[in-house]
Amino acid sequence: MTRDAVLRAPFTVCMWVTDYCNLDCAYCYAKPFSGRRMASDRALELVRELGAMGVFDITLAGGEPMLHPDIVEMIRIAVAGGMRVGLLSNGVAMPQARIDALERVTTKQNFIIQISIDSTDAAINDPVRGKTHRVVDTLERLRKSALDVQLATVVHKANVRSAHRVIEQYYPDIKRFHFLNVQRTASALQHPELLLDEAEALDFWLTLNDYAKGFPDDLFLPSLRVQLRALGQANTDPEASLHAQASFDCGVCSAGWTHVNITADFDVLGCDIAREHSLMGNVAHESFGTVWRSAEADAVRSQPFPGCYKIAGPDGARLQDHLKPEFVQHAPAHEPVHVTPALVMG
Amino acid sequence: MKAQGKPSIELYMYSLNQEFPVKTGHATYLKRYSELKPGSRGEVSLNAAVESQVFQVNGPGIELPLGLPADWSVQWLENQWIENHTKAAGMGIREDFDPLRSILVREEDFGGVVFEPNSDRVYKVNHAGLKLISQMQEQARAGRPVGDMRFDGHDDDDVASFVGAMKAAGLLGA
Repeated sequence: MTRDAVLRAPFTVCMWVTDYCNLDCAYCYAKPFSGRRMASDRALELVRELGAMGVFDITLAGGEPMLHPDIVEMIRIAVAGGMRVGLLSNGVAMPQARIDALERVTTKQNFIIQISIDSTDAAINDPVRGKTHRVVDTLERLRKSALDVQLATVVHKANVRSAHRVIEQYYPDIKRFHFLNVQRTASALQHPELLLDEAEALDFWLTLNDYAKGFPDDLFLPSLRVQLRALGQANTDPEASLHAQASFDCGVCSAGWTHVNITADFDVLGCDIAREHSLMGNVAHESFGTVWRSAEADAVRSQPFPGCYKIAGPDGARLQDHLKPEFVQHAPAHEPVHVTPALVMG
Repeated sequence: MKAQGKPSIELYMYSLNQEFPVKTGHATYLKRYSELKPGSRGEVSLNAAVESQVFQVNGPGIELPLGLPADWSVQWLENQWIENHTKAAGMGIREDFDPLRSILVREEDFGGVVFEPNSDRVYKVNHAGLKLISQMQEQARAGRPVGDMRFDGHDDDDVASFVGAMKAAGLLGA
């Protein structure tokens, strides 16, 4: 299997700056939380390192990243280092002073904040996410700010008929709306009343497609096109042919090649799904560059099949078990490594 | 003197979220390397299997409800797997689009990489291409028209071809 040379740095880095949250969403994919957060001094230094290495894009997430006391300083250092920053927040802890500070240290060219809400109707949003009125208050202040805002809405049984109408509530102050189907996380499976069937989901995306035609071209729906294609409602715009031209070749999957995740304990993970099978090192006491060039990192990049194939499903089966024996025999074995155990604060 | 070599540029990744090389992905991989059998339409009926690994749903008392859609935690696009965008928001479309000012360029051992945030694409250039783009960026930052530039050490046809490729990619205004 051929593959490209290792890059000097990843293109994107997602830092999970907090491993705790002030909401308890029914379908959360991040739970259970350890209660830990990134140590500030090292986190700030790390952001400087990433900028110096030429990382293009940094995403600050959690947990809830706005609960980190030095989140604004991280953003300031990141944009000063030439990186573009995305902040993924639930919008609950967003005092005006924080918004003002973000306005001072960022521009529309280098910063975007994503706020998650499933409906401005508390009767819909509260049972699933909670604290609707606080998030709506945040959105009212953000829409008047100089910040670039993206609104993220999870589509589930409770909002499937009305989720798209959040656009008319905030457009044109907000022009970016990201929708995604509720995912079958362990948490979501405890709430089958929220899960959609195929027909309901398809109906939502087709409704959104029609509804969006009533808005100017600057309405940006990053997930619509992907969803329509995935559901067989092909949207054959000219750029689709470009997909056939991309020369990127990492061998198996891109885990550890172009993007990494860094946990609150500074573990560097090549994949946010196959976490325990993609540990590249820990940057609490080592530089990111040292970890990026380490043998452990190269082992993640050289995995013979995607790390998620090693994860057991509900019945204990793994995709790894279905690989052809002759292939597995020739594949170098990489035993899973254990992610640094998180310590609970306080 | 034509000492700089022929500049080249190619599309490297169609998105920062690209997870697999083009025309590969879980389905291609498993058809080739596993004993799982394709369905009647040639597809690999693995959506549920992949999803069961995307999220570890092997907790006590959890049973997969019947009749649910196949797999929404991964998004299939022409046999390619697109990451959940909420985890990597990207920067998207900008009203004040100026390609040369908005692209991010980084040196690599093979030359360099160019990230164009408006289309979310990454391009790969060789050393000569990296040098040309860097010169164009300097020109643009100084507020001078790129069309007035002279590129000493390069063949005019090579430069014209490179500039044409940049325009086609949206990295340079028409």
